[in-house]
Amino acid sequence: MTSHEPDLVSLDELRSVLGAYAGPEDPRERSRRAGWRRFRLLLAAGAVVALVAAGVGIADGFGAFDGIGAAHHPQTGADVLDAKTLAGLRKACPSETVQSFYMPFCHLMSDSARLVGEVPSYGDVYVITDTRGDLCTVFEGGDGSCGPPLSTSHPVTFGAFNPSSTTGGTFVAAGLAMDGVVAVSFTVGGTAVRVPVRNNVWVYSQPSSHATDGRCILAHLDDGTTVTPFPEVPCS
Amino acid sequence: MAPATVSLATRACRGDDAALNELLAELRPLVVRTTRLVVGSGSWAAEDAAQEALLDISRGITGLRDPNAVRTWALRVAVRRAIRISRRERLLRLRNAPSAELERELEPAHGDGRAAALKHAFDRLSPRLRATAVLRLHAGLSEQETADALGCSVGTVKSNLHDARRRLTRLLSEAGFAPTVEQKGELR
Repeated sequence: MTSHEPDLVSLDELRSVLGAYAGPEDPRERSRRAGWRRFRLLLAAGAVVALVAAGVGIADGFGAFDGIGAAHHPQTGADVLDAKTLAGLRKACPSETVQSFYMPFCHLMSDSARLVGEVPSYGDVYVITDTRGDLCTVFEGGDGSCGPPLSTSHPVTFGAFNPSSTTGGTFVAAGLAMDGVVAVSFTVGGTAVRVPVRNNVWVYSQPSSHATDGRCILAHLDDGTTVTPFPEVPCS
Repeated sequence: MAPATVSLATRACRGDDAALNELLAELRPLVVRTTRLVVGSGSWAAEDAAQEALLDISRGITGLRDPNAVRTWALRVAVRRAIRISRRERLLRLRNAPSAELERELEPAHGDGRAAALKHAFDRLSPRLRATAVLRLHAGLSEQETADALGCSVGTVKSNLHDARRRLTRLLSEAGFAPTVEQKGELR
């Protein structure tokens, strides 16, 4: 096909720009902060392999639980992932051996699981690490998120979920917080909320909501200071 | 397409996980970049879409009828996932906001003002127009393959591409860049 349209952007220029902006060949991974829906998908590929291959006490070895007091105890029966959660992980995996790109939930170390709390309507909350030493939060049933361990500059995780955002469902935001973080605040649909932290876990729910995410996220420390853990998330 | 790719696809179709891994590694750059360009690079939704597209491919490979067409099929899967996510993100609006961190990471090392303006304009096109341009110009599919991937006619592919260029020209002009660009020859 020959183009005779001198007034239009050329195909070569457009091709060149697309090539320049296509980015690296691997998908970028969100750190710490992501919708649970996504991580249901990320559970895919290899979770079963990882669960079988888990090592005892690996979490402490990698420091994935540093700063999470509620997770620093020997694993007991209560910490073991329940059958429903294991089934959720297994179901989400299309193949046990697909490792084309790194998916944290497919490399979980099951023996590192520690029960740290409960989220209303979602059940138990576990922390668990993977073979790379990421900190993963797993909710009963198999949802959750993974990211680097908490630190003083990133002392909280933030996950948000709304099953019916278009028609108005229950918006739930929850995450982990380091020792010393007393509350997490953020805005939902322009309204500011402040959520207390209990045993390193914070949970917020809002019924009949169209929200899918929170903004202006702040971690409030016990010395009265605040930390902005996700400066890349704008306030508006 | 390389015979090795067809061989991998054939084995993967039969349930060979090792072949599937190799095949995904081979297809990944094209799938990820295509998905990213259709959704809009610089947004986390684009990165999510890329991962979800790869999972779609790994799940659907056993249903692929013609291993010779694995590349086109993978692109079709990726674009459909990307369009779906683009529309949803438009609806929600919330997570569609570009991430400054990601934009910095994905920005070309030697981009100029006009190229950046053109990419910005491209991100403002509808997902369908973006998908058409990406499949034709970035992935290098033929008009017929692009039509098959998008589930439309060859005529629609042509008009989509023309429409995209017309809109890009207008948006570039609004951004203060000269609308006239020299004509080019064959579209491969």
